Amino acid sequence: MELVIDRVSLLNGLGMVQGIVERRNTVPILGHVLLEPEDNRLRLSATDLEVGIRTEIACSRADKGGLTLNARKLFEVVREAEGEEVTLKSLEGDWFELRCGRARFKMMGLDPRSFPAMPAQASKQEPLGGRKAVKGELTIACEALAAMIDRTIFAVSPDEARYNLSGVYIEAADGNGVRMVATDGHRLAMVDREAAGFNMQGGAIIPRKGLAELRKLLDQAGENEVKLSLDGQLAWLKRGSSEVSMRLVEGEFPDYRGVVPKESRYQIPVGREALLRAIKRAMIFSNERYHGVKLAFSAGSITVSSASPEVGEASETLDIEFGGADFSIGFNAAYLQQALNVIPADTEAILGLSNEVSPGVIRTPADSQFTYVVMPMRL
Amino acid sequence: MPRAEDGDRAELASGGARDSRRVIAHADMDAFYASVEMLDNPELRGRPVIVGGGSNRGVVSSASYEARHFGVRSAMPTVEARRLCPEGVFVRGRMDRYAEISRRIREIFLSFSPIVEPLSLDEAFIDLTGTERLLGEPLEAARALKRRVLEGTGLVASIGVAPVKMAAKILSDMSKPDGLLAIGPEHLREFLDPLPVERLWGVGSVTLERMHRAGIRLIGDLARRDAGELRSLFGSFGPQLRELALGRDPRPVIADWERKSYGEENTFERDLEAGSDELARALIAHAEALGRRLRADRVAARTITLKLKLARPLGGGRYPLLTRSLSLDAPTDDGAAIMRAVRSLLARAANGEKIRLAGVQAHNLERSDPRQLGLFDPAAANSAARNVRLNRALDAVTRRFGEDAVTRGLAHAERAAPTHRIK
Repeated sequence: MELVIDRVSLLNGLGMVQGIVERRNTVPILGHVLLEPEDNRLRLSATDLEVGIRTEIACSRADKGGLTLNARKLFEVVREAEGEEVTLKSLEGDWFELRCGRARFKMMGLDPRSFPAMPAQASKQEPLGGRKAVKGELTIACEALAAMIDRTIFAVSPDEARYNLSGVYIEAADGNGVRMVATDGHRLAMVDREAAGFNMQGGAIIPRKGLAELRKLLDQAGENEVKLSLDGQLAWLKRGSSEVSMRLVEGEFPDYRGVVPKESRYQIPVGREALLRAIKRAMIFSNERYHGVKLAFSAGSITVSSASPEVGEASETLDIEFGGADFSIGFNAAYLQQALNVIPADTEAILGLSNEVSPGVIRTPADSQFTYVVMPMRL
Repeated sequence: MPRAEDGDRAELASGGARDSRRVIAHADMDAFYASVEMLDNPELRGRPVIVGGGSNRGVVSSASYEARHFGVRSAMPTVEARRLCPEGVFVRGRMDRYAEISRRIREIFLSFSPIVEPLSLDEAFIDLTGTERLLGEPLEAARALKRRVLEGTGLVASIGVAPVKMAAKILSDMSKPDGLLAIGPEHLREFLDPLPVERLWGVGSVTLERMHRAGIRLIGDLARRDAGELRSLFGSFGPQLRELALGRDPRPVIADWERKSYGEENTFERDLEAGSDELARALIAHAEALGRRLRADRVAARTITLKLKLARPLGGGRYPLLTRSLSLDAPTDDGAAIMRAVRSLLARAANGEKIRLAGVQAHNLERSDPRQLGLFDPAAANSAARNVRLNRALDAVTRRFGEDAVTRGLAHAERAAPTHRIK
């Protein structure tokens, strides 16, 4: 068997699958990429059993027969090699030879028949148990979906034990819309977009890792509209010659509606850029473990400050429109920073605050459908 | 022998060997409450000032040296003090003011060493180990400490310096008034041996009587006894006391924020029924006071103890003491939560008994670090949030207007005696 592939195309294809290749090497085959030639196309597949990615690239000459190779090593070889084309040829046993320019590499493959099926193929046969199957097709502009992911995914819980918070929740919003919500229990990010014809019973939790891979796909060249399919325990999205599929997170997403304050005592507009910079500066002296910063409001100003015993202190006062009684509130600086990061620069952030122990709300006129709720910190 | 402030014998070890040795100061304010009263009210200066509960059931909490000439001592019933010193100026204590001055004194201590263990408002251990390069010889440091307290507050501290806590405390006591005594490790035994055995911590009247029966009168007598013999006489306490008598007291100075417990208690003007509202009021006042102190020190307690002294006498001026403890699910600094624990403890203790003294203690402390509030624990978070806000408001009012300005429901009643900090 022999394949001749354009080096840059192969590098791009391998780059796409790197994100989900198993790094820990506990199951060797999960560290491999499956290469399947067919009619002058070469299909690359990788999976960690939860998320799967497939992409196709052109292949100038291909004999039949699949093979697997260590995905990271192959990526490094192709990246470091020089020359226009890569030639891949099977040797004796499980060995393959790769030539590029004047360099020659020998790599060992594994039996391609032992390569696991993509989540999309695997779970279709699995019974659903007692769970209700979600079923929906979201057709949406590529950049709208990208914005929704960017404005929620950062709030997903990093704690894998809290599995029902380990992804972004998606559901149909009132009146031809789609909503995504993410929370780690301390803050919550929520965004709506219009999505004509999107209809889905209940909601689904899309795992963070799979959604991050899906997000990468949206940056690739392709049609302006994409289709995200949700079916049973699966979600998948195709774009161009690539497809990412994933198992949905099982579990109940918490009742997020109850924690979004209906109203706040104060609505305080603050320049996004100035506030973000002040917070970043205050973070230098906030406690390393808790990242606490204090926002002190008084007529016409907000003072952002931090203090770390035996290390130092920071404080900065910004002029704002505020006419209420003096009060101050503590927050995890990272929670504020991440929310401000997804608000467009040169716009305002509207801080909705009531008192030092009630949830704060951050919104922006630049995206009226974005809501961020953050619980204060007792400093 | 202990070295007086102006003595000239260098008792403290010098040289490198000292590095491994501890230098512990015990600072004790002279007639603290009475001195504060005289400081604030110059007319009282030079007169026998006696601070204590206003009633006849109360005890003297502090007596000026002028009053002590008449034989008035702290912890003496007020009635007796009046009999001994009819011309005495009797003043009802102002705990808030004492606490304020106490904080200033503590700040001065903390400028000498980060390891300061307050025992009460007017007494603290200060670990001066390793401060020589910064503060000079321990005796110099102690001298400076005395001077800074006087300059900073106008009050006099007596100080004892020793390698172990127990000896430092004995020295400060012996040095009073306006004294400073220090002793080095090589003279510790020599100093302790001739002292009466009741100078040791933990030797109360009962133990003392048994010691005397066993022919032990001096600390040196105890030190020379065999540990096994002492165990048979006093149980495991015996060998422990012997260790102290030998000058061995490994207890470290524990910084304020590492302290073990907080307590509030008072003796009632008349004995109270276990189920009475009056008792409940007193306990609420204690629980609230504890909560305030925990919040002020930014700690929270996991264990709450109810302490009751029953009214039926055991004889010899002693009364049965009951203590009951409860561990909480989560550490608290909230007076209402402390009171809930106290109520459930009270229900299990002292049914139908009359109560002479009641106290509440908080132990198992944790620092209340910055706490991220959660979105999804609504009931807990909301009520916690309400409590936090309420407590902050209460603390602010209390700071401005004093401890009696705001109290919770039942607790507003007249308090028999001011709540006393006991720890």
